[in-house]
Order: sequence, then structure tokens, then C-alpha cells
Amino acid sequence: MPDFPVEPQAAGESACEPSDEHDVSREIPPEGEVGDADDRSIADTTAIYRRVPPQHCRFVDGDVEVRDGAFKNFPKPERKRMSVVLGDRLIALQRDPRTILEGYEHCGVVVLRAGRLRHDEDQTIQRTPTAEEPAHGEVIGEKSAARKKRLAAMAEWVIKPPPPPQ
Amino acid sequence: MSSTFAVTDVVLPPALSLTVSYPTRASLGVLSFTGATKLVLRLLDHELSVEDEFDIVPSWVEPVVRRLADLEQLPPGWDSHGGRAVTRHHSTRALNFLGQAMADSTLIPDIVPLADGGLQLEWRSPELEVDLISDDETDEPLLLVTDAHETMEYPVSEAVRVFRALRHNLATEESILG
Repeated sequence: MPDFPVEPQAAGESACEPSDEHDVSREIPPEGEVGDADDRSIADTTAIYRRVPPQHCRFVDGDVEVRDGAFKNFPKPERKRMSVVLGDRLIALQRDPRTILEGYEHCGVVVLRAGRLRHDEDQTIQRTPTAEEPAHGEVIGEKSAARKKRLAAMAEWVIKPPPPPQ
Repeated sequence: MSSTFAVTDVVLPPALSLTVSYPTRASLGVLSFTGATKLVLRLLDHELSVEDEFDIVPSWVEPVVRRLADLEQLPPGWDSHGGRAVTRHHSTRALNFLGQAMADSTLIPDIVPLADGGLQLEWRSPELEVDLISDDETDEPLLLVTDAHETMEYPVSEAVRVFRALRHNLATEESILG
């Protein structure tokens, strides 16, 4: 279980519709220009949060599972980058993980650990703060179909999404 | 002739292949069975009708085509990370695979949009996970078969044969939602 107590969001609190402004894709310099070097200031124990839309949730028997499609790299495949929120920055900013969902209340949040991403899945991690998300980071590296399945298996819910409307 | 769409329990003969294309949203489906028979599916305000005199359609077709049409209308950034709507290219690939691989008794897959406009067909049973992935990261669709021990990957050239060999394990309750 995650080591940060967060109350699950109340069921049916928000509609499963995207918010108005969702396109948070940003201009990223060509690969190699900034490099894919691992930022070792991000400790192995750091929580790596990933926001998960309802389309990437499987609601089964009253529970919810995250689908492997949630761990796809940025829509430009050559980037090999997946947007995340870095737990150490959240702590420094005195923010609760629930703030990751501001404007995205129809989504959920899962957590991975930096060390497992690095050592088990050959990923590097960088700090890439944005105006919208100062704690933004990226998990960089090939994410094959089999790897995405492993990421889904290791991910733990921090905040489950609201169930779909009946 | 135009009639309200009705789901029928028809099993396609194994040798009968199904190819699919649908050029516009207003005229959603053109399904051409190998041979001479042709039918048209039309989706207008979520009402699906069948034109032509041929009203025998595998039961998976209607919900799958509806789902693909919905996924093609996803707004930019639907995944909160800048994701794109499913493209016609990938939905056509999925339909072509299903047309060749499905039996009428086969579980209807969950159809999951992917951030780059691709999609993933997911079948789940207690013993087996089967996925067909069509996205911009690979040139051709990829079939994944996962059992308790490992995940095997098959290129599209083997996907239909492999799926047909497994589909008796994927014949339970229906599912379509992502």
C-alpha cells in the first residue's frame, strides 16, 4: 500500500468527462538536445505519480484496475517520455497528491517507485517542471508492451477514479 | 432497403474473411464479405441501420463499430496528458483483425484508446490475457498473449492464426466498455 494516507474520492463525485483544458503536451527539445540522463537527485524511494484517465481503468466487481495503456510514452513516440509528478517535489511544495487531480477530477492517480523504474525497467527520470505542474517529471525509456504490463502490475492506486455512471 | 439493426447469432464460416472500411462518420460502415455479399452500416445520432437485403451480421460488429466511432471523437487531451483521438487508420486495422479472428461466441474485447491515436483490444479470462495493439510505435499491429508464466508477442502475420487457436478460451460474457 502507498505510504501516504489519502482518502479515496467519493464515488460519483464527478462526471467521467474530460475537463475543458486538457492538452498539457508541451514542446520538448529533440532527443539528445537535453539528453536522457538520469537525475540522481531523485532518490530511489521517491514516489512517482501518474494520473490515469477513466479510459485506462478497468472496473471489475466493484474494484478498479489500471490498464497497461496508461503507461504509454508521450504521443510523439520518438520522445520515449511519460509524464509524471514527482513525490519529492510535492513534499517540498507541501502539496497533497490529491492536488494532482485539480482540473482532472474524473481521473485517478497511481504511484510507482523511482528505484524500480530505474533498476527493474531500465528507465531514467528527470525533473521537467512546467507552469501548470511545478512537480512535473518524465520517465524516459523504451516502454514495450510487456514492460507496460509490468508497470501496470506494479502500480498502486493512491486515488481511485470515480466509478463510471450506471 | 433500410431496417433497424438487429443482432443475430451467426457464426461466420471459418474460411470467410471480413474486410472493413468506413469513409465518413455519417456513413460509418461498409462491410464486404469475401464473395459477393455486401452490407452497409450507418451511424447517425447513435442509430445504427443496415442497408441492403443482407441482415446477417455477427453480434460483435454493432458494439465494436459504435465504440470505435466514439473513440474517434475523443477530445484532444482526453487522457489528461495530451492524448489524441483514435485514428481511422488504427480502427480500421482493428476491424480487419476482428473480421478475420472473431467467432460469434468470442468475448467482445474491451477497446482501449491509446495516447498516440492507437488502440488496444483486450480480452481477459482467468487464465489468459490477449491483447491486440495497433499504435504509432510499431509499423504493424502486435498480438500479445499472457498466461501465468510469460507474455508472448506475435506479429500481425501470425496474429489471426494464434488468436483462432486461443479463442475457445475467450468465449464468455460480453464486454465492450473501456
